Amino acid sequence: MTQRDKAAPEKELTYLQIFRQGLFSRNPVLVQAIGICPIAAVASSTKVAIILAAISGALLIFGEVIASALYKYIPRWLRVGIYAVTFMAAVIPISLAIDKYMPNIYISIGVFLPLMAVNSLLIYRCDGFAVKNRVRKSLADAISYSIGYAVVLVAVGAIRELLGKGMFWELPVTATPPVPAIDTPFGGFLVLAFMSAFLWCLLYRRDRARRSGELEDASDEELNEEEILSRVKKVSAGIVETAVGASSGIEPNAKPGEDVPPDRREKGGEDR
Amino acid sequence: MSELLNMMTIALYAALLQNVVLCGAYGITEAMRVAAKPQRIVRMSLFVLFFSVAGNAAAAALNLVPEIRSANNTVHLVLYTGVIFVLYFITVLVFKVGFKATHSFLRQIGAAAFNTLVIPLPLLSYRAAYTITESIGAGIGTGVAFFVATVLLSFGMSRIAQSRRMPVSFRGIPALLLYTALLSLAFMGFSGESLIV
Repeated sequence: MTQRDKAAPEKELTYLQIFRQGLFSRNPVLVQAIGICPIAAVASSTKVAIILAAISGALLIFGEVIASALYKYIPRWLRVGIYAVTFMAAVIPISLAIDKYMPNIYISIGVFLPLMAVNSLLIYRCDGFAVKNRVRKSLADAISYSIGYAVVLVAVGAIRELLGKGMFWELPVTATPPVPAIDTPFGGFLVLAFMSAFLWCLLYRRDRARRSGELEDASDEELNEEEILSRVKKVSAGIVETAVGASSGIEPNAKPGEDVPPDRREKGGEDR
Repeated sequence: MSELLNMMTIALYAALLQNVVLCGAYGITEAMRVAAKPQRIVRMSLFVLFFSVAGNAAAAALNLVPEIRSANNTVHLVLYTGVIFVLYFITVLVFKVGFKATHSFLRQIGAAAFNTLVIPLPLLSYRAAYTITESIGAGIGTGVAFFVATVLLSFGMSRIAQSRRMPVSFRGIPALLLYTALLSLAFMGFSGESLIV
């Protein structure tokens, strides 16, 4: 275990908090914008989305447990490569099994099936959480993030199948596809954008409800709005930075806004 | 001469006409992450360029062996991942030992080597039956596509951050995804694909 791993474990979270984070407040796709590639590119039907969700869940659970138990003893500078090789080794038997038993699904997923091994979600959670925590917590984290990822994946798959192909579970629902373009990566990004906005809307409402309880003296609604906007400001400047963690050297549990270029912070401040 | 022309055509096609990052969503998460840090765009793009060109050329050379060429997709993928891992290991070792690079820097090399843009490239080139020169062209195109995508995303991010008229729920990630969707649509237009029928 390196000195840094010992010195900087992720903030102690309860199991309930870990589950809430993965599903809701730090949803990997809608809040942190990670693991988007398979969703935008290939999740255009419910069946395919369920298969991808199952594979990514299995890989994440496997990877986080292994990383938590063993990989803290591997030098940090080599870990990203080791994660990728481990996940690739795990995805090969899955790929062969799907090719044998579900050839149609294998064809429709194509090259994206083995690509699940280098999904940024896996590397990010292993490097950002698992190596710094015990096996049990890493398992809880893997399960919560897997569910959070799977919910988005399946929802996007179902919406795109319905709008892009006019079908649901491969059964025709409409005579002609209402919006064929939804079937392309453009449609994937579009659906994700609206789902993300919906989740952020829920998060702001919850935040506003909490703040209004705390700010009893400030009966003016504008004050609550100001509080909410200040949070939004932090989020818009820092959330992508927070998500960067695994790949570019920022600690994944850094506060939003940390390590943001000063010019961007100032611009965010002028906003409102 | 015709080989060179062929290589440049493939590179241009992969980079601009059908930008693999924006049209195919390959490596889009990495592109978004890098775009959030404009000072890293050139460095990361160069690393992606290096891994895609070297990895793709090495994989194309391996495909000259008849036993490898006739193997199934899984064998190819194992080989290609092995090739990228060897390149990654050598690069990281050179920067760690030779240049005393920081951990953050070394992790960026990992992110540039193992992502959904670089890893599938040899497999896609194999399926397209590219020669070594054409594979190099595809690698160059991929690196340039990554650069173009990150520059466009970075520009959009800075504009989004300045916007005053955007609904609160759309600020941040939702706006970025919408912007990416529009970019994807624009690049799909270059390829002539119809989205209406």
